[in-house]
Amino acid sequence: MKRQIGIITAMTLAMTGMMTISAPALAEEEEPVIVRASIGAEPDNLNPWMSAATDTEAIFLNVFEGLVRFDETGAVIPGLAEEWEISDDGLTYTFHLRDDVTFHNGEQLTAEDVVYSYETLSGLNGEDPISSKFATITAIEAPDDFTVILTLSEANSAFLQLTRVAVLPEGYEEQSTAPVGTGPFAFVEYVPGQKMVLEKYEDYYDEERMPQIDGAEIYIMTDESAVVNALQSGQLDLGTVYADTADYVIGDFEVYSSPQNMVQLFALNNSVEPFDDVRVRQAFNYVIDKQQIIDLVFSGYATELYSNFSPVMAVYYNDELTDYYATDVEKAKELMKEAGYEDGLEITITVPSNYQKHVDTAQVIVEQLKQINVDAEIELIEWGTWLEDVYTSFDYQTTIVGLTGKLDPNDILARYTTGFKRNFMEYSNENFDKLISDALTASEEERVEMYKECQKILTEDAAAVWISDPNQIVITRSDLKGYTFYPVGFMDLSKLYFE
Amino acid sequence: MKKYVSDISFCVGLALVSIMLLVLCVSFFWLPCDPEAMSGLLKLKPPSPEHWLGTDQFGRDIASRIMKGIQISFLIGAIVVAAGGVIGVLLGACSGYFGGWVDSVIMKVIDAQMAFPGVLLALMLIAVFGNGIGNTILALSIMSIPRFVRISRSGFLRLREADFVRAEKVRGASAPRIMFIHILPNLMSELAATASLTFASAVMSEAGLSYLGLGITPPDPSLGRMLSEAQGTILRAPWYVLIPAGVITVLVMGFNLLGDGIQQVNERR
Repeated sequence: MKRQIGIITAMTLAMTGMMTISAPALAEEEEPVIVRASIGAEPDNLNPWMSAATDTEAIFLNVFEGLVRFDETGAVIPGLAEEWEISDDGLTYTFHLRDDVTFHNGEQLTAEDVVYSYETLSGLNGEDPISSKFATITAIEAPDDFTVILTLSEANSAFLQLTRVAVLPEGYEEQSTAPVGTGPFAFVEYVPGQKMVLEKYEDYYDEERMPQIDGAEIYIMTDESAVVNALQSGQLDLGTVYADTADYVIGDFEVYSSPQNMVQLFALNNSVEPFDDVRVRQAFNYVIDKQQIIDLVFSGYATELYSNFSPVMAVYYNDELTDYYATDVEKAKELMKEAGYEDGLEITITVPSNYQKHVDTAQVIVEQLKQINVDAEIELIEWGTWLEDVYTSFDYQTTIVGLTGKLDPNDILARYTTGFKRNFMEYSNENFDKLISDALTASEEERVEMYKECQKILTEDAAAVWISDPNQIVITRSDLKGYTFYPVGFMDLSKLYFE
Repeated sequence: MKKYVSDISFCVGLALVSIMLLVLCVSFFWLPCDPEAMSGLLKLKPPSPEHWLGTDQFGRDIASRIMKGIQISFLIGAIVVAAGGVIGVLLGACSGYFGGWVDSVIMKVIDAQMAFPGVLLALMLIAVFGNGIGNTILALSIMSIPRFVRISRSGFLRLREADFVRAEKVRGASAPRIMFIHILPNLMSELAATASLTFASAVMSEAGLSYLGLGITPPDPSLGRMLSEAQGTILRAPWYVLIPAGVITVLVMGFNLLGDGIQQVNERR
């Protein structure tokens, strides 16, 4: 009996031995190459048409594609459409689609999907348009399976750039829970509060853009030091951090940095008292010391802004506005006196609590405003509530937020036109509206001048207090190569590879 | 009093609380610096003669902010104990003295409230009412009621049949008179222990909520919020995180030991 047991034990040992020997060999062969990265906020919506957050778009540009794409310089390049023609009057756009594109659910992309997408976006399907930007589309036709013709009611020189909006498969209803696109990465899962998982899409059509990694896990980390700790303990391969933390990552890491075409602003609701008075807004511009905010909050790694425009967009940037409101407390006091608020004022700053940099900025602003007897109270609210109360229903007095960089100056500035759905500053100026609409049909040289003029109007009217464009800093493991910056938030996972 | 002095927990607790009280008293008359003044030049400086405990990420004096933070902690602790105590003792007294359906109704409600974990309840209340000092106090006060109800109920239950109470009843004393003039003084030491423990847990909960970004709104200095802000700078300024953490520890431990001490002495009696 004893011997029997002995034999069995020996056999078991031998078997386990075999298994332990073979296991690593197998693993080595099939271990998928995964990049683990971080983002700073929870995705606001898994449906790319419904999402407004920068961080969400930065990831989802890997999953979804539009008719056109953009490269590192911000120039428009072919996407799902191989080529396109624009009629001389600027009203008709003909897109020739690729015939080798499939969605992640295996179905082929045809003109029908494009028609469905643009009908939904523009509201031509009889429902409310999802984006007011597409309201100018009057007709969508598909003469054959791979050609789509869009007709506009008015010429819009910024329209082509808009067609980078995601094309989604027709008749698929679960975009908000299990999104399906055409990009080099397919969506696998989203665990709220933890991570999003993407995997390489094996049937991706573009060989050059074929991912070199097998997948990515995007961890949601709202805290900077958590990102640094995760990088140092090897839990992350790539992390996005703010400048002041970058210097404190010790070990074998590469640090990449670039301005990110973002506008961080202290937005004043122009339609409510006391901010309906331009003098109060100007006084705020005079008293807020942007350099101090940049030093205290961003350790100096940010660029001062003077209008709603980042100098990264060099062609359209109006550099004459520098120090238009150079910090001058006496002048601010005078303006407050003229406006009748000599004895001070009580205001509320509504800040999304998950963005620590905005909360910190608010604290500095509270301190600076004391100089003109303004007693500011900080109200912290959740990001979801912020989107609802501030961004959608304009139910706020002042707020601090960062506006995502856009590729077209029209997209950046049109936010301030009267009646625009996302004009949460509730700014209104006829001349400004006119310039914005005229610029859409103007020649390129004229557009440049017009957008510069628009920036000037905004600054003169002190529509908001524009603070800074914070640098984007990305830290990667030193053997992870290929990180590329874009003028809009985009973590291009398809370019990453391990050395 | 002699019994208390011979109890180690009580003495240590009293000493720690006294230190904090001393700092609190000083803070009303004198602060080393303006706790809200910012300076880019003084960012995250280590302790020095000008700034005893160094400066935070905005160049604000940590020592002054800690003193101000202690004020807020005491304010919250005191109001929570007062509000929770008054309501809790009233409910507990009625429940224990009258018994019957009054007792059933009150205790059912209290049991239902106790089924919620404390911080979860506070989170819920803050989600409904919004954050800020007032609402934090409200949430923590509601959280502290059950403790007082249970302690005072058991006391009233025990004493309502006592001879001195019967004697008062025979004399024709009214119920409130018997409850609050004759029975309540006998429960003082038990209630003092509960108050001390509640104070500690209120300070702790406030720190926890503020740490989560839900309690006190910035720039008001709160120990919990300082801890969460310090966490972000732990790589550059490790001393900063130790200061609010240490103060919270001393404050909470002090009141806990004090409460334990009173309780132990009572049990021995």
